[in-house]
This record gives sequence, structure tokens and C-alpha cells, in this order.
Amino acid sequence: MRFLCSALHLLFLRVPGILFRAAGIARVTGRAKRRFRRALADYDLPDDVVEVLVEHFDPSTPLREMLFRFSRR
Amino acid sequence: MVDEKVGTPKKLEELLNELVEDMKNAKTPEEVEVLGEKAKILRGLIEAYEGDKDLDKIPLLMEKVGDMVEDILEPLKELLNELYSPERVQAMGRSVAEFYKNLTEAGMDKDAALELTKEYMDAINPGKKLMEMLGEMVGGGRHLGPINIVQDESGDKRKGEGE
Repeated sequence: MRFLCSALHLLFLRVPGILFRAAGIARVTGRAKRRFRRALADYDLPDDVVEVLVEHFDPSTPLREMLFRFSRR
Repeated sequence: MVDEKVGTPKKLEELLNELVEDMKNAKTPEEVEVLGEKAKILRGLIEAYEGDKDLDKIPLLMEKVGDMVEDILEPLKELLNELYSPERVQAMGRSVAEFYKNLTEAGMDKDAALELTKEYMDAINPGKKLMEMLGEMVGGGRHLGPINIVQDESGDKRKGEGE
């Protein structure tokens, strides 16, 4: 019974809380990416260069790679 | 009403004492054999009880893990918010664009300029380094293994395992 209560607590309170915080991190990195792209575009850099640099700038890439590495296992 | 937490080990202890007494008083080999069977059953009961105790630890563990993840994510978000504040990102974008433009205007090849700009970005983007470290830590510590010392003809060369 205690195990079930704990599992439900984890599922309905903890997991949404963790997802909410992860979404907050995604929001921060997404906003940074957009602003960085705008700053590069202001200097009239070619679009392909902007794309490559923005992709390289993206701080969430390492975390995404880590998640995909887990899913590939 | 029997207290579940205290009642079970007490009953097991009583059974064990009873068994020990019976073994002391046993006179024939048949009696000892029967008591041996009884002891096996009792052992099974004790193991089942200990297994249940481990199961009770799981909710506690889940609580702790949940707390830990939340404790990591909240400060991480605050830190990223600080590292990627609008002004900082704007300044970073400006400096990167200027760096690339200067290189291309100086006549450098486009690909080489792009590679150098990427290296420059790595140097001025601490948030990404932080996320990379976090990713490596969570994903099995690829770069956190022991240091291998590789010796070649030119001398000692220290090298990380994951590289």
C-alpha cells in the first residue's frame, strides 16, 4: 500500500514537477538561441553560417545527445 | 491488535527459539530430520520478511531521488538564466559575428573561418561546457574515467580514457 502511494506520488507530483523544471531549462536555452540568431543576423552573416553557428551555440545539445544515447542503448 | 512491524519479527523469533528447544530435546534421527525441514521453512519465512523490508525501502529511495533531481534542476535553471541573460547573449552574438567577419575580411577560407569561430564560441560559451559536463556525468562519465598514461617515442603523453 505504501509502495503504491509512493508510486502515485512520484507519478502525479514528482514527475510533473521535474518535467516543469526541465521545460524551464528548455525555455531558457530556446530563448538564448533565438536571441543569438538575431544578433548574428544583425551583422548580415550568410544564412548557412548563421545556422551552423546557432547549432553549435545551442546549450541543450549535450543534454539532448545524452538522452538519445540512452534511448539507443 | 497486533502491531505489524513488531509482531512479525517477534513471531519469527519465537518460532526460532521453539525450534532450537525442539532440536535440543530431539532424541531420534527422524525427529532431527523433521526439525531440519522445519528449519528450512523458517529460513524461507525469514528471507521473505527481509525481502519485504527491502521493498519498503523503495518508496524512500524514490523520494530521495525525486528530491535530488529537483534540487539539481532548479539551480541549474537559475544558473542558465544568468549565463544566457539577453544582454550576455546579445554581446556573445555580436562578438562571434565580428570575429567571423574579421576572419573572412582578412581573406581566410570560409570553412577555416567557421571552424575557428566555433573554437572561439567554445571558449566564450561556459553554459554549453557546463551542460556537456552534466551530460557526461549523467550519461556514464565518459570522460571521468581513470587517466591512461600512453608512452610514445617522443615521451610521456597523458590521455583521458574517453578521448
